[in-house]
Amino acid sequence: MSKFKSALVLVVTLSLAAAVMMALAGQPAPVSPAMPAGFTETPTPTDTPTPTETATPTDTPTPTETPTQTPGPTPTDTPTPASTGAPTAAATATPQPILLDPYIIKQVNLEQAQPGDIILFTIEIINPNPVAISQAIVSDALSPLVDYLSASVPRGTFSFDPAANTWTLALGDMGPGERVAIQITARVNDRARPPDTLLNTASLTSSRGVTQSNTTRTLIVPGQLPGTGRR
Amino acid sequence: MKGRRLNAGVCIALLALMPAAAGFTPLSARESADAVRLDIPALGLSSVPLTRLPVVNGAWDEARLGAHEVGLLETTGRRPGDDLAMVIAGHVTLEGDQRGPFYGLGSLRPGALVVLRARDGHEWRYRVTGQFLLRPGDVKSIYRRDGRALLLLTCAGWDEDTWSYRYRLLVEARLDHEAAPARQIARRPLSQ
Repeated sequence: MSKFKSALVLVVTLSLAAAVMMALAGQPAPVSPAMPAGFTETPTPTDTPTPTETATPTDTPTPTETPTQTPGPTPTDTPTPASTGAPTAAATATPQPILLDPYIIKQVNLEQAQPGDIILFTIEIINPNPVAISQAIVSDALSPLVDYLSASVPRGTFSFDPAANTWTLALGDMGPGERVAIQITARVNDRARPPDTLLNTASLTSSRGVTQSNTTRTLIVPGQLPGTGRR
Repeated sequence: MKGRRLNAGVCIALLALMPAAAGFTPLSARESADAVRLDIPALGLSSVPLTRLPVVNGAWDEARLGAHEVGLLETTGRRPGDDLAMVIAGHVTLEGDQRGPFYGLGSLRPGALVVLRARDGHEWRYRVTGQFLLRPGDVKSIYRRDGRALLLLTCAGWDEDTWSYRYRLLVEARLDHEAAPARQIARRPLSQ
C-alpha cells in the first residue's frame, strides 16, 4: 500500500511538474494522458502556478492600437500622435492658389474690308485669378495696312508710337477677376490691296509672363463686283 | 550605318503614309474633287466649264472670263462646304448682242436646280432659294459665312446713257444633295 502511495505521489508530482513546465511555456496545461482515469480532479494545485498569469502583460499592449508608429514600450501614448499629427500640419500651412494666365481676346468688326474702311478692334483682358496680377501691359503692333485713329481705354496709361504703328496700355495691377475692354479704331489705308489679308495680334505682359491673343483676320476685297455684261 | 539607312527609309515611308493616315487629302486629289462644270437645266446650261476668276491689280479680272464659261471668284469659297459661300459669275450678254451663259438667270424661280460637278464625278445639287439686286459696289454682300450656299452673279439693268449695267443680279441657291462618285471596282475571274 505504501508502495502504491509513493507511486501515486510520484505520478502526481511528475504531472504537476509537467503542468508547471507547460504553463511556463505559455500554454494551458493539458490533461496528462498518463494520468489514470479518476484522478484528474485531485491535482488541484495546477491552478496555483500563477506564472501563466504573469505572462499576460505581454498580450495586453494591444498592438492593433499602435498603427505602424513605434510599437515600443509605451503603446498607449503613440496612437494619438500618429493619427492627429498629419492633419494638424496641413491645417496650419496656407494653401497656395493655382494661378492661371490672364486671358487676352481680340475681335474685329469687319471680316472683309476695303481701303478707306474704318475698322474697330476690341481687346478684352481678364484676370481669372482670385488674386491680383501686377505689371500688366497690353501692346499691339497694328498692321501696316491700317492707320491708327483713336482708342477707348477704361484706365491705365495709353501711348501710341507712330513709327512702329504700335499702341501700348500700361494697366499696372489687375484685381482678382478684373476685366478690361479696350477699343481701337483704325482706317484701312491705300497700301491694302485685294486680296491681302489684314492680320492682327495683341499681347499682354504681366507678372504671369507674356500672353498672346488670338489673331484677327480681315480680308481686303475689291471695290467693285465684276462687270459681266458687254454689248 | 546600314541600320541608319534603314531607319531613314522607314521614316520616309512613314512620312509618305502620314497624310493618308491622318485623314489629309493630297492636293491633287482635292483639286480633282473641285467643281469644274455647271449645269442649270432651266436655262439649258449643261456642262459649262467653271474657271477661276482671280483678283488682279485689286479687281476681279473679268476680262479672262470666256464667252462660254463661268468663273469662280477668288477670295470667296473655293469648294462646297468651305467657310464661305462659293460665288460664280457669268456673262449675261456679249458683244454683238449675243447671249452669255447667265442670260436669263433672273428667270430662275425658287426650287430650280443648279448642279456642280467635279472631275472625279462628285456632284453637288443645289436648289434656288431667292435672288437680289446689288449695286456694283456692294461687294461685301457676296461674302456669306455659309458653305452650303452657292451664289450666281451676273449683270442686270442695262443703262443706255452710261452704256453699262447699273446692277448686279445675285441668285442664291442652297445645297440640297451631294453625291460621291461611284467607285469602279476592277473584277477578275474567281478561278485566277
